[in-house]
Amino acid sequence: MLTLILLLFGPATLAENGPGDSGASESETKAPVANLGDAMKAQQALTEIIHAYESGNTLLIQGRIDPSMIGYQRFLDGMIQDMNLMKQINVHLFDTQTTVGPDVAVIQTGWEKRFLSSANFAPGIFSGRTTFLLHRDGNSWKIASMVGDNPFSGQSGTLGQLTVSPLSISASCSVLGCPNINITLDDPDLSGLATTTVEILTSKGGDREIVTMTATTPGHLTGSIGTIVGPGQPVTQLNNRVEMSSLPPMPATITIRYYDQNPGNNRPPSYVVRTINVS
Amino acid sequence: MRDAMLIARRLFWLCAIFFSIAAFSVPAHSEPPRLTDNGSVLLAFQQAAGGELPAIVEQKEGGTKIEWHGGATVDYYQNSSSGGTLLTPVISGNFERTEIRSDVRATSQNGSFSYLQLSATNSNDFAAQRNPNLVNMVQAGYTSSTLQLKAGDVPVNFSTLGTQNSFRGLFGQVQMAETSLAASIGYIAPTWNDIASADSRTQYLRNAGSAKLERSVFGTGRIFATYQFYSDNSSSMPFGQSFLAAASSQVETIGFAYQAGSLGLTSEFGIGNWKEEDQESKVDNAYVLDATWQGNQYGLRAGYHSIGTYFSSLSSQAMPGVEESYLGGNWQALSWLALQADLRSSENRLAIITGSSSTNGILLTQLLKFDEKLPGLSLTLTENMSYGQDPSGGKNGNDTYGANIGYVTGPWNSTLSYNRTSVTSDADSTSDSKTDAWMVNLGRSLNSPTAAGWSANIGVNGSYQNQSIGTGNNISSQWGLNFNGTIIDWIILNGVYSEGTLTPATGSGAMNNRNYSLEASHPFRNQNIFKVYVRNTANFSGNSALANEASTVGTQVVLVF
Repeated sequence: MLTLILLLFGPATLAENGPGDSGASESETKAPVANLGDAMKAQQALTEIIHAYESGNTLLIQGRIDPSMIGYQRFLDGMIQDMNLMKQINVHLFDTQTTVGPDVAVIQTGWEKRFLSSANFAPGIFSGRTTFLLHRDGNSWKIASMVGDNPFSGQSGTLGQLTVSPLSISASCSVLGCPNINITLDDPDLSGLATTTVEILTSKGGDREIVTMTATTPGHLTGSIGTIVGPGQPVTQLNNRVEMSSLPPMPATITIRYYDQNPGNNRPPSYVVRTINVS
Repeated sequence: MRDAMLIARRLFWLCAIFFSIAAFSVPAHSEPPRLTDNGSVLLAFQQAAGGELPAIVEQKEGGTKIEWHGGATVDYYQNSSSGGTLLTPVISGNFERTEIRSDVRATSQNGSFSYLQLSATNSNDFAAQRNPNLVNMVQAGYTSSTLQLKAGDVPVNFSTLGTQNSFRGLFGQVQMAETSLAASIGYIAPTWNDIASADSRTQYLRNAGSAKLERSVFGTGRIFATYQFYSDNSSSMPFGQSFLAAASSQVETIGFAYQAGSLGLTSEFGIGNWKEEDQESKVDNAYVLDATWQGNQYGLRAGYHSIGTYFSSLSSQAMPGVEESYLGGNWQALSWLALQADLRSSENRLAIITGSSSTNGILLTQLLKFDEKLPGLSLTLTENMSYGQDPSGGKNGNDTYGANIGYVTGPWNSTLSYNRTSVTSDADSTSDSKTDAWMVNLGRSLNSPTAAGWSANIGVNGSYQNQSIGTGNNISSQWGLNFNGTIIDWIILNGVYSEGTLTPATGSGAMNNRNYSLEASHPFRNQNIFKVYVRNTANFSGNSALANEASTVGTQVVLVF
């Protein structure tokens, strides 16, 4: 309440607005819109940064980032780590949209990053969506921030993508043999990590299992676990097998979840979840 | 061989068409200007451009101004690729891409300003565009001395901790003496298509809104307060299709910005309440403080940022879990010597085992210019060190130092640079590496001896990199040639060729690569352009699983009006 009173009735002068983090106020003293050609220049600036990343030119990228960007050091460390672990990096953009104002530009784009692992030259691919905020610095554009999945730096956060198969299991599968659950996890934040774990929970019977996922290329991990669903099947936790009774009530679900410590998009640590139907 | 002949034949016909158009097109400046009335001009324009024209409404004083700019870019191209989508994004086939742009502005005599901007693309190339019809940007607005309204794609930049994002919705701002009030509401979605249809959504539609109240104080200072919220619409995605649970957040911040001569100071504090569906809400806070001082010969900057692990706002800058401080500066010590230093200390509460939970970094740069004795010669020395600790207490770090020599004399320019990078990590010692990299560039610019003629730039470049990692060395070498030239009002040429080799530490076969691209553009009728282009990227490898190639041959027409 006190803040509101100060804002509405506090001391004021006729001086012009000062600089600071309120780009909206600064931009209102100039022409409120930019030309469409400025969008091309902003996109070109982003393309140059991408090419510098692909060629390992960290100094150029440092020069194009605002030194006051929050997470600057984390971003640099992650970028250098990525360049160490990956060769022949190629970043492909799609669905790119650019909105330009007098002093700021917003580029929203999807991306795919292809690379070869430095350790075993196995190919890998990550994908995501990012919104880049650029601000004008003289005649050039600098990156002020990125939100969404970060294509340049695994440590700055990208949402892990969990893929499971099969998506459904028959409740009578014990007759011919129940399938294994195959799990694939793609999370660039895990680049350099040899293993991680995902948790499996059943909606019925209370089974809980931990699956160890093993990396085949940076940030790409796979794992599997057997299942058994049958009438009156007893359940034992942490025995490396998902167990569920097929007796009513049915249908039920098997939930596979991964705790993404850094899911990107400025989101706190969150569970990434996939479910398998059992009916 | 057969593919190469096919490409060469297509290129021949494209060039034939191109030069035919170039030979018979009307040079931009050959027609003398004609003087006539507005109506005749508008009629001629309508015949040339088609469609309806904006009306020119003259006020009594004749001060109304209508501007309409637009353009269209049409591409037809043929791709051929091999190797699969894991190795190349290019898809084989015949494709088209059409982009239209329109910018209509009306400025009235009292200074108010209205506009409508639109850019949209149609393409059948799935690699470039997942949705065949994509609205790149649409924005309509009205601005007067005290009021601003926007609708469509609205970038909102309220504050570092509050809102820095792009809305698809509405924005309004009113200025009342020294106080301004701004607000925005809408969706945050990757594309307009995601709002229109659930079929293309890969994440929840996010409803969002924000407001800012700001006032000028104490000369050049400002104080402000912001409020923002977002809420994921859990019914906007089919059950089980989203990786994450729907979430919501409310954040309030207060802050100030102050500029007095060379000193600039900004600070902001925020409190947020974040909640995932079916989970308890979490409250957290954030604080930032940044200061700059810019003198004639030197500048200083310092700051402190602390963002709570569960602080989630609409600001693209507010990264959860970061606590950091930095001190840096630049100094033109002498006419021939410039220095720059940057010190940082940061904590990352979201670090995983191979990341750094705490890091100290330092960047030092020296730039020397030898203008008096050797004009055009410069030497840049850099040292970039970062040492950290992962969550389990293991050490990690990276250290890069390098030197870059540049020399420019007359039409010649050249650079030679060397970098040494060391990366270590207790959590992943198999990836510890030392990398030596050399790069060289040599370029020359050429100009015709007459005032209006031609110009060109030619360059060669080379690089060599040796990465010692694990039990072996990854060695790569690359060389290239680039060219661009212009004959005014007739042709613009751009060409690049490079090839190289990558020898892996695994001992498997070396990978050779070859890349080239050639573009030829002909301007006609003012800013319009007709272009033909060919591009090729190929990787040949002793390992057939890694071989891939992608080629593109196409034409492009750019119309500007």
